Amino acid sequence: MKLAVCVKEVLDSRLPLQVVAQTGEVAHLGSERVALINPSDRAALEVSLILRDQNPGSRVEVFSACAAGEEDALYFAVARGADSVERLVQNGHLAGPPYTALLLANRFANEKFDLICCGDETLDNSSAMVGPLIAELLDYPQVTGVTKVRECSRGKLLAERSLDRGHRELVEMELPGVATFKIEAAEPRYVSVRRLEQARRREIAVRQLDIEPSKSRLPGWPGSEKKVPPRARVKKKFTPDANLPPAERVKMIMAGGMAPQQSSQSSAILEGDPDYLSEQLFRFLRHHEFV
Amino acid sequence: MEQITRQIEWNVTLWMQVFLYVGAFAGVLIAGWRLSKRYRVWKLGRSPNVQVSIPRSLANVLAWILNRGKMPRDGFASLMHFLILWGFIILFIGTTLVFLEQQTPLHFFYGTFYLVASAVIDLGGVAFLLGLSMAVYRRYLQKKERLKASAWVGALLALMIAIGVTGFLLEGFRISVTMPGFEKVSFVGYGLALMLRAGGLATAELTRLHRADWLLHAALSIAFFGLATVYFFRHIIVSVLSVALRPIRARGALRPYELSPQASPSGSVFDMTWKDLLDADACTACGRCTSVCPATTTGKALDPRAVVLKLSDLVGRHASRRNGATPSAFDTITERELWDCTTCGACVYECPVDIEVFDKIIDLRRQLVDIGKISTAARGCLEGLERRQNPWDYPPAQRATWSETLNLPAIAAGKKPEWVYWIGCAGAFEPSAQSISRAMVDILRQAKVDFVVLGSEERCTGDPARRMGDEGLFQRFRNKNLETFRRHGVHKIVTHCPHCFNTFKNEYRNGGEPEFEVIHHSQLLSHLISEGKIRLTRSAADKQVTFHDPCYLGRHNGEFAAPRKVVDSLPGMKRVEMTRSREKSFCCGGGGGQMWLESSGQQRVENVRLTEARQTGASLVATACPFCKVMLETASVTAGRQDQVKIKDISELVSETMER
Amino acid sequence: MPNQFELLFSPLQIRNKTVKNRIVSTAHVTVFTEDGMPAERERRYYVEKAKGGAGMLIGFGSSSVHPTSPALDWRVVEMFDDRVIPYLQRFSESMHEYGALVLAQITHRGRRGHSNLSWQRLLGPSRVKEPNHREVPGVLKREDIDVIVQAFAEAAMRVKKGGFDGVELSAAHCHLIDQFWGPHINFRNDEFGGDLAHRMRFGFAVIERVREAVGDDFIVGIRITGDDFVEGGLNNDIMCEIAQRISEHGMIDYFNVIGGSGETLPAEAACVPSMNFPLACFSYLSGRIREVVREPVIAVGRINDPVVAERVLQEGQGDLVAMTRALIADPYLPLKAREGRLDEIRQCMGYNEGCIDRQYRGIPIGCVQNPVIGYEAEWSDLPKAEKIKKVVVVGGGPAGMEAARIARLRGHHVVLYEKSDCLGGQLNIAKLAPKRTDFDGVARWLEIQLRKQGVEICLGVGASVETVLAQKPDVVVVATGAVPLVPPIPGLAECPYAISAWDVLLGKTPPGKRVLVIDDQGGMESTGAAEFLLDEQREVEIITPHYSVGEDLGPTNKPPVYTRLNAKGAKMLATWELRGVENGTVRLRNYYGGNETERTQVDVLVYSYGGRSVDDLANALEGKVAELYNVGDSYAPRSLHHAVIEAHKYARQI
Repeated sequence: MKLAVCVKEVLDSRLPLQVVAQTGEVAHLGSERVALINPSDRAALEVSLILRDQNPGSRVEVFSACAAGEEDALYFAVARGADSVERLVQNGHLAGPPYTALLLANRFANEKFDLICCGDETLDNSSAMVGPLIAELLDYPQVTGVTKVRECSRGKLLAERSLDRGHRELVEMELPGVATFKIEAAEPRYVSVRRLEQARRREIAVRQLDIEPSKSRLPGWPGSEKKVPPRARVKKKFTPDANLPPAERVKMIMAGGMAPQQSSQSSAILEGDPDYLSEQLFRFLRHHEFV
Repeated sequence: MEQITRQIEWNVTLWMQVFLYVGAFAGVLIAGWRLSKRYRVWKLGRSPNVQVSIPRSLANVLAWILNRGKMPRDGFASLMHFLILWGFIILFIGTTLVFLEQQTPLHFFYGTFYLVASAVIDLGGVAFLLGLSMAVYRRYLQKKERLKASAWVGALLALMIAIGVTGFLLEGFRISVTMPGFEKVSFVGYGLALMLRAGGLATAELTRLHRADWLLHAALSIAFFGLATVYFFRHIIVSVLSVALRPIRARGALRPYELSPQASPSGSVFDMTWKDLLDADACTACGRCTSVCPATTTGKALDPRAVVLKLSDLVGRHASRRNGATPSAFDTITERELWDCTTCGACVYECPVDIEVFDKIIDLRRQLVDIGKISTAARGCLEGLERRQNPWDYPPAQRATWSETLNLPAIAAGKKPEWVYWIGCAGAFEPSAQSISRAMVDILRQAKVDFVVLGSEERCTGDPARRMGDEGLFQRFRNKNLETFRRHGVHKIVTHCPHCFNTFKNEYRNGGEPEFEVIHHSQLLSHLISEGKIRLTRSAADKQVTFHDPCYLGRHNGEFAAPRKVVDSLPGMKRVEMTRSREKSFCCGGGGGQMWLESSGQQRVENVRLTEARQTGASLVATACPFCKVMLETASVTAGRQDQVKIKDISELVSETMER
Repeated sequence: MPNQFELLFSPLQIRNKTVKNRIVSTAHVTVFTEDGMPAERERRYYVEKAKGGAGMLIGFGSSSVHPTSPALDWRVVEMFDDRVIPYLQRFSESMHEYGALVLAQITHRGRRGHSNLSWQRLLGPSRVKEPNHREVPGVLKREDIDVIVQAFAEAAMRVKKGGFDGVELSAAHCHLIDQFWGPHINFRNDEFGGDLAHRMRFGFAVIERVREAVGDDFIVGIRITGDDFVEGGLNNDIMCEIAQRISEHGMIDYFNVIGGSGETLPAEAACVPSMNFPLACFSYLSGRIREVVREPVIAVGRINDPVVAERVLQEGQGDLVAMTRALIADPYLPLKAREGRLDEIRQCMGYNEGCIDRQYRGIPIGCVQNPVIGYEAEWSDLPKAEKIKKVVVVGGGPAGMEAARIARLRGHHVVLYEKSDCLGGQLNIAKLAPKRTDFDGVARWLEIQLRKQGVEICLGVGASVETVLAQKPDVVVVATGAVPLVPPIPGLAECPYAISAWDVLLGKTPPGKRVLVIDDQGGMESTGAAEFLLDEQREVEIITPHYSVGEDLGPTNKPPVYTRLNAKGAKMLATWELRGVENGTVRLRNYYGGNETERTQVDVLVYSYGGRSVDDLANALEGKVAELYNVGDSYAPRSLHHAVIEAHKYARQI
């Protein structure tokens, strides 16, 4: 199986950051710049490495469409055991998720991969567009927000993807296809500083691509338009019975939706092992429609 | 007057002698062959970079034999071991004398020498048997929990007892036939002879029995030689080697780790050093490490003896197999075991044969880290260290936040104050350790000590990185910190954190001379008090205090006196000691990265230690380490006892009681 | 997180206008009018909100469409007079300059009020008096109804001529439109009474006439209650029905949904939920209305924070959020939230004593946290000082912190001493009373500001004259606060079981079941302490010389406090004062009659007489420094509002 992983370097959001007024870009405050591999990309990489180890003869190739000096994510990938890494560049200054997707899709059009793995969304842009756009550009099937890979073999991917309220959906996809992964899809392995430093000695292959965005099937970039979110659905909340005396209704609201006489019934102290407790707690939350 | 000697070949025919010498030769050969097989396995290990110097090795061994190393700490075991060892040595010398008298032109076994030698040899035999009986008592009647009463050990004990008994019988038979009066000096043999004669046995029968016994004794002795490199007996030879090759380095310094870019550890046993493998074979399975280990005694997965024995077992398995796959340490040693270690060093301190127990655990952790197989908590801590230079994963910009209102003198280029006060990550980020930093600033100002702080130029010393197994990360911290020190011309550092102190003192030398002096705040405080720079006059509310020794100050760096001096200077306070204190102190459970890892097992180490502190009746536990303070405080709070026992750092106590 | 306020900062179309974000300041009375006109003070007050970035500003609460509306007690805008148009024009231009939509509320209060100010007859649908004002109204005649409906339309036209984007009809707080809706108020036999369809006729008449007058390019919204919490009144089910019918009628552009009503005292307190209520406590009401209407709905009620606001929107409880009091506490909340400067937002704590409780008494509003409110003309700018001085502030309570903040913002070098180990002063005691946790936010915000701006803070330092002078200050601000006052009542000072209300909150109460609380202070001190002790399962009796326990508690605070005291079983006795204490016997005297009685077997005696100034340092420094200010309680023990205003005022003079 040939697996492609698309990764991006992001800045560590826990360090002081500032927006550079002239460019609108985010930069580190202070001298020490610490880059990370984007967390969900990291999960995608880990999933691919696990799949490779499960399917002998497989390869994991890692790609990043980034400028020189932003290869940290690729070094991370090498240190974690990727078989090859490649940096894609384009003549002329093009930026933004659609162009990233365009570059990557062009690369994958030349060489067929069974599964293209991307992170679900990045820390900085959170557009969650790159994976789906690659699939659209290549006319591949896609599955987004994967939280668990159940099986991946014989040209099929069986995976769980996340829905609202903690629900999961089991989907099957024909390969070749594109999958984007949530952070929880895999616990990434630790990379020791020694391995990282070893990786940094590797030279990273660069591939120059020349794409005319106007001639590609690139969908419009909606970033410039003001996004108006759809009307939110009403979530059912605690509403006191209109037939109760008004003073009781006010008391219930003052107590945050719990009438004093109700509270003894609706609260309980549970004891037991963590599995049992979490199960009971989850039931309680479900029952009261908190989740 | 009959000549005072003994006919060596009395009643011993030539074929018996041939049997003895051939047998003994074969036994030694077998032992040597077995040992060489193990030796070949040891050699597969990496080089530990130990420089062997013969005089030093001899000195090590001599010292070990003479004062019996760490044995005397357990009186019964010490006496037992002393009797067996010296009984054995005397008997061995006696047998050698007999051999020399018989087989060489030397003839000295006469007169006074003979009498004295005979008496001493009998004495040795008695000691030998007495020691062995003690061992039997200990194992089978007292049933010491840490000692494993395995069938092998039982058989070996029985063999040695049989050798001793048959030896005495041999003497008895001989004397009972020849009956020279001077043999009274061989008091056991003479006594036996009298009994035999009184039993009414005829001389011919006695002679026959003597011959049979002689053969039995010889056969048993041959077996002993043959078995000398098996399991428990192996330590007779190997522990001498392990003691001889003990490396000279500070107790607190963790051994450096090879960081060659080619090495790709994957849990192979041969990624351990040959010294580790040899050490493992030196283990006597006495279990003293296990009995003091904070992890084992609180029911965690780790048992240090088991780790050593499992390694030894792997060596053995490889030795007995040709061209087998390289055994992996992780086949038998679980990750859980390795992450339970607090690196308190109690095991190394206790080990009678100087096995560096926890260094092996750290080495195996290093292998785990290198293949990326570590828990989420450990990963979080290490990644926090790498990116944010502190194990708590706080934003580094917040490092100086605790001191914003204090107007601390920050280091500036060109300015050369006497001391740099190193706050450390705990002192900067942990709320209950920040009070230590504040108290120290208060004291330093009161005592008019000329000091500065590095402020946000501080970063972790690398101690947790190193002890959690990321050696590369540690070296990165060391290089960066040394660079900072050089840039500012730092030459004297005081720190309140024993972990920082130990790392600076022992691990920042890089093989050369230390580039700066570092002292622990307990040392500075005790100095300031004796110099009269600060005077402790205001008496505190508490009357009884007990001092908890931080492992990295006490056991690892031998500083027991200074903090006690500080505690003793507190007005109106009486110091009481816990059952386990000084070298025997029990860990707080926070070292070796445990501060950030999940605790397993039935009990928490800190709870055990707190209970021990409470048993002294003291209302105050003083310590000299932010980690100990945090851990014990956590124990106190989770036990709901924060009102009954207070946990304070000595600096806080000084700051509270000093005259202003 | 760029998406943290995804909905809050997204635009929304309302009729022909687009509101730039979902933050609304709803209509409220400010009592800033001059002769019934929204003059400069009112305008400047709103300009700050527009500058701060709020999307929609609804001005002029309860402004009268007709002189018969009994609203002189609040001095509302008189929308029935053409004089108002130029004021409105100037007003709307100022708001549009900052891109905010601006609307005005118009109403007729019907029977809600007294006729003794204007001597105009009080009018209502039926001859039923309002429990709150207790004046029996006359019954509206058919021809009077036509006049009032026409007055609504004309007032709406004045608003349109004033350049506004829309008008809001108030059918909440039990004004005339919802008086007609109420089955317990409207007992008419004509076409305006009877079943719901008939009771709604008056309201529809108003809506239709207004829409006819203003045309299609003008927003007409309506403010309704979601549940009036009145016996036999407009409960949530009825209001959903009413809202649905209005929506189907199709002439209203948005619904603005409150909880409660002005009809009874408890319901009135719920209208503007104080800190006694949870955050966003009435979003369920707007949520239910929103399910049955097509138009946008404004969620109202203690939405004091952008995070809460976003949650309300995400949960679909509203399309817009009313953050009225939040914008009083910090008009720049929208801007700060948008830029991610959340820790700089001065959060409304829902104390209400500075804003709505003053307004209900007919006094111009302010904010206990934000001294600029009502004084925008004078104080909205804070110029840098010409000469930079060294300022020492002693005392880290609200007065000291506000003084330090302003002095620092003016560019001075400021050192603040606080003798305890944390900032906050009496706020740290006040917050310990039940349902008073939100006081914490006041000190938190001030402390964050001081630390951000670089005020040198020395905690744990009780500054003496020497410490202060050692700093060589140009200016000293003393804000050393107060301690509880112990009046010279025989036996009180020596009484071992007597304790101040402050110490009660600090948990120092001696053991004992039977507690007597003497409430002389009249505010939250005694009721808070009483509740605290009731929560400890003690028996509490509160005795006060005033007409009622907690006499000075505001109209939105007293009912919830009484509700809880009642639920927890407190006994109350008014008009009796403390005369003396001796061994377990407490002597009381009737404040009016002078006759005495006593309470025996008292285990704990809690006294609340307010504070006594701690002014030793201020006195000692007199004449020793160039400039000396004594502000807040150390000058005279008063309220948080006094402390903040006073500190602000004097710090500006430095």
